[in-house]
Amino acid sequence: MGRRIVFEVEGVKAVAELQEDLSPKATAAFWDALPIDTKLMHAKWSGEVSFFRPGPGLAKITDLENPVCSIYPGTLVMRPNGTEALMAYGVGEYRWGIGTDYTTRIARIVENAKPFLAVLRRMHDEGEKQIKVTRAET
Amino acid sequence: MKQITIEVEGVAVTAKLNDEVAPKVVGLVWRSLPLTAPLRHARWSGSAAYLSAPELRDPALAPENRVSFPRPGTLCLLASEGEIMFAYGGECQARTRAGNVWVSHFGEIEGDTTRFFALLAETQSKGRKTMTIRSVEG
Repeated sequence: MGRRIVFEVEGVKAVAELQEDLSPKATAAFWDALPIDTKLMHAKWSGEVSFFRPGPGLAKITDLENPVCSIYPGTLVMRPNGTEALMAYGVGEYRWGIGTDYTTRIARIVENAKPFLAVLRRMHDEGEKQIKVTRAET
Repeated sequence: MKQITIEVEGVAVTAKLNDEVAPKVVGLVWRSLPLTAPLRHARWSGSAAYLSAPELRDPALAPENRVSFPRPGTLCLLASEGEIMFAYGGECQARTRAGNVWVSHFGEIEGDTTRFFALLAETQSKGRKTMTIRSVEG
């Protein structure tokens, strides 16, 4: 079992496992950047997706690792340089103004996905929220 | 020339409808007025908000005066979904989860749009609003 992290939005928590086998550099940098407490916004190009800015600690990750375009529900992905970390609650694909682009997988929710993703889905109607990301206690 | 008023949270703008280049689309919109419906931020199309109403849905209606990159202040209908799209600035392209789509450019907002555009943009951070569209009797 890999290292685990906890997402929390409006008191609803979900546990996710880092995708260390797929993205060793990015997941290591993400782990070092925890805890994160920041604004969570709804995406405007990538579909049923929320995103946050994980902070300057991820700036050193300049390359993609095993890149993907589709963002599966409950999967956290990140752009190079840590500019954005995104999680889909439904149909998601990383896009911006000029089209589709690649991301690196960081983590996948393994506990309490359904209630947590329901909170993200409400953002389209309710607007931005605050997200906390912490290391799971072992 | 047909005109409408569009109001969100007490801020109203006037728009002229392009009967000559989009007669069927203007007819569909005109018959739907007055219309009060939810306004949400685009999830796939960038810097735009959209009003969604079943009265505006007509999957058989082919695009008229078609565009893909709406300018701020233009009124565009995606008849297949029953959505009017309002680009407010920055980058915007009409898209769905399946990719780029054509929308019917059927009107233009006139006058100062500063406060109106700010409310459209705010749907990303603050969530859904309510929009009302009325015909201007002339």
